[in-house]
Amino acid sequence: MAERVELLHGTLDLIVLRALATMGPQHAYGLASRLEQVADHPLVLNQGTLYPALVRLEQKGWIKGAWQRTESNRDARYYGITKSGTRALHKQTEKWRRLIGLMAKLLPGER
Amino acid sequence: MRRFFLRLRNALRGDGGGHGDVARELRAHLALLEDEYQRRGMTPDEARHAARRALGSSALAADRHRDARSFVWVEDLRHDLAHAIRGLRRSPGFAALAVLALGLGIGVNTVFFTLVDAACLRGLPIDEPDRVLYISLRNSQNQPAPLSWAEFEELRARTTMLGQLGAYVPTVAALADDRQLPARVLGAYVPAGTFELLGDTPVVGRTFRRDEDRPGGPQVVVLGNEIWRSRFAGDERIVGQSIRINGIPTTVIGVMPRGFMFPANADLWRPMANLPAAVRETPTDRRLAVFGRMTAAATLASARAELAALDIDATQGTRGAGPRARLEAVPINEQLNPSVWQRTWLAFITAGVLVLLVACANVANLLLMRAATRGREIAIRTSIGATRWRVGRQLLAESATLAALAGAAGVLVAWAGLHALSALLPPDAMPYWMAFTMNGRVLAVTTAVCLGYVFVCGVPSALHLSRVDTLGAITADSPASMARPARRWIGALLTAEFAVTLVLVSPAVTAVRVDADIRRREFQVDTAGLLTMWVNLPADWYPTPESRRVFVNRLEAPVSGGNVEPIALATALPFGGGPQVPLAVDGRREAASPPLVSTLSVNVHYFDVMRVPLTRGRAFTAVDGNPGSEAAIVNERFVRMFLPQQNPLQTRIRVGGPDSPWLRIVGVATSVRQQPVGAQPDPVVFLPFRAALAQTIAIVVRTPGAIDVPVSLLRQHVARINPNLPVFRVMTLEEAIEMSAWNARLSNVIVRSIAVVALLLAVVGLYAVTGYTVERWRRELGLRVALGAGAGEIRWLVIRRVFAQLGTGLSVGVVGTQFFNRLFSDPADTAARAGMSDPVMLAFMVLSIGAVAVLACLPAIRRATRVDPLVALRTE
Repeated sequence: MAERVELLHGTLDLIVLRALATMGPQHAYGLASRLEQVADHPLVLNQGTLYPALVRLEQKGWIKGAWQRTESNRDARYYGITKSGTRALHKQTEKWRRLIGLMAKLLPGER
Repeated sequence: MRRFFLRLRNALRGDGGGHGDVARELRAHLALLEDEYQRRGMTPDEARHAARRALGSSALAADRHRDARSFVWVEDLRHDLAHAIRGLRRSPGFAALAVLALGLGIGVNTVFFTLVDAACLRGLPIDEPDRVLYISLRNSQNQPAPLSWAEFEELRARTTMLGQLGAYVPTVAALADDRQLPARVLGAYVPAGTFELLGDTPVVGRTFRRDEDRPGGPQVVVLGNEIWRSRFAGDERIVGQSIRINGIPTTVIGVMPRGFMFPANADLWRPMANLPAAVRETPTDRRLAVFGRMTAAATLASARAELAALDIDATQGTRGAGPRARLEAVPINEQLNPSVWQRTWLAFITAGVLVLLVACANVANLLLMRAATRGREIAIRTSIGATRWRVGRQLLAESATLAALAGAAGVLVAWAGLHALSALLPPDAMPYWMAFTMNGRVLAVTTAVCLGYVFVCGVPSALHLSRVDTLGAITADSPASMARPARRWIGALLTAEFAVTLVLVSPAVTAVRVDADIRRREFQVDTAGLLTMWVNLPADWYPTPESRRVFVNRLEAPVSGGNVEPIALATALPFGGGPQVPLAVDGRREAASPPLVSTLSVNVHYFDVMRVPLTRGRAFTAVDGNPGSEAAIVNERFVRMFLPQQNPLQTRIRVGGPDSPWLRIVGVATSVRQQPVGAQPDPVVFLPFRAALAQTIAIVVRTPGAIDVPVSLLRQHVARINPNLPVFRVMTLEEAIEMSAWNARLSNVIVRSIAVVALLLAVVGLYAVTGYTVERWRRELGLRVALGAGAGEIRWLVIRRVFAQLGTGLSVGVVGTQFFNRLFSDPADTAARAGMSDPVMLAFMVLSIGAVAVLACLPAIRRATRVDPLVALRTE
């Protein structure tokens, strides 16, 4: 259970923000499909796991959800990134870059 | 931060599941997935299943969603509490019993802690009391004494460690003006600067200036808030006006705030220099209670060192008084408050804790029993996935809910109890800061007690229950199989409860018996129609015996306008105390520590008015007490104690120090108690009133009818002698005796209520336990009935089992009583001591508790005899 929950805390939030920033407003299913394509390891992302992240982000005010109709005329909640979300994304990305750089230096040769 | 509030809101709103929204979103998600899978060629059914698989458990998803939306634990707590309240509401009998028992226990405990807190812990309401030191003179035996005026002045001039110095001499003043009857007001002489030292400022006007506090200075007074409101209607213009204090015109210069009544319920303050000149000028007249505030630089040790080195003993050289007295200092609260480590207070605390323990044992029993019948419910919940933690938590929530309800009930009980106790106190019985009120500290302790209860009683039962054997509990058809240890616990708790109950009940029974005994033997006054009132002759107004003699002569003169004679005068009323002084008998060698006897002065009409018969000799005559005819009357107890073999009328005695004159015994009176009810025997010596004219005089008359007319006649009589002199404590002798016994009455009420509460708790415990036990024996009883046991046998069976525990409990209790007795009863109080180890007494108590116990299990026994074997066995 623990394994599935999170590889690194905060990663999922960043991925979701990134996806919303590049793709525009998405519903949870759309996001999940998109992330399955991107992730190396689709099993990591049981689609249910997405929801806590969405709630968290919405509570932080980084994304905003609204009920809309899909092309297939289904009811769905579309999430779009907000201004403060964009700012947070930049900041977080920067942080991750630095961290990755540091980790790469600390763990040379280990892939 | 924003997220925190959103989560909190969600948690509190109980919308943590966000059930509507989450469910809708998850449904939408599933629908989209299904669409996708169908597009890939699956049948609708397959698609639906695949979609569910992909999404994972929807319950789990919703749960996690909930996790993110709100604080789970807050929400869980809410759920658990709601569950607990529902559970308690389902069994109101259990809940009521548990809350009643625990509430009583907590209430009694809170009352006791409030008393201890008020008397010992709270202390004076002054600024930084720890830095204020009370200073006393210690003689070579290290006995503390106050200081004389001269010593105070010298200390003030020489100390460097004490920045400000204060003092007080309590006084009773006659306050008069032209508006109302003169009033008797408690007050104090204090030097200038005392108010500032204590940190209090007047609400109107000012306090004494230095130049007012000097011999021959102006007559000024500061009033207390009570008298200002009651007598002067809170009128600020009183400042600057003149009133009469002890007949002397005095200017009011200020009014102190409400709640300031230093040193003890004082309601007016006069400059220390207004002390009668005789007091100021006599170096041996030590009556100034002195205290000082340390300077910022001083510490307790340095201040003590300085004081010990100061040599200010003003009696030095006079009388060749051995080694000189030195100064000692203690923090003022240590001096003015009793130590919590005294026997009385420890007994209080112990009794309170014992009652609480009984209550806890009771509720623990109730919980265990209830738990036993819930084994199956818990087993089922465990088997459908509740973790042990979850089950235990719910049980804890139940305990906590009970504790909270009981805590609230306890505070109510305590509030009512404290009101009742305060009502028993005569006015001014306790210093003003010792009011019996609950404060933050008391409530904190009560809260701690509730929490403690949850941990001590709730946690073990939760642990015990949550370990229930699932399979066994579900399959066994009996109403849950309770483990043996639990049953043993219930038995042990009940046993302990009875032991403690006996310990708590015995002092009450003893007290009642001793009390009745003393009343029978030493209360032989015919109180019918006896009216009492007091006058006080202030020392600065009636400084000499001669001035007092004039007053008394006029007081004893016929009252005009009515027939209230004869008038008895005394320095104390029966049961009203009186100084206890050392006794010497002529012709006997003086003991190293002479026995103490109560003394009071009475006039020639005293025995006549009181209708106390003289068994030998005669009453006082007008000449008794004059030089050359010094005389005394003793009571029968005195004769029994000191002169059993000889004719008292031919004996001379001396009371007081070696300077006192020898007195001829002229009469022996029937024993009437002088000291308040207590167990010590009370030998009394009566002295002729005129021999030592007292300042405080009780007037007693016997009137056949209503007291209003004689009261007003006597008031006018006194007013004719001195219009500025208040008459106070006007009441019947019956009321006066009742009031003087407040101390004993208070402790009696406390001891008796403990006993009643303990007994009540024991009854609750026994009722619950037997009821439950019978319930559990249903099958066995049914079998017995089926095999031919009659109602009598069944009854006997239940009683035997109950009494096995009762017997053990009471035996332990008898031993406990003796311990309690040794530990806490006053060694001098021999009657009470003997009472508590009196076998007849103990047997009586054991039997009565036994009888109460039988009553408590009657309902259960009745139910036991009515067990229908068919019904009982069919549940198998």
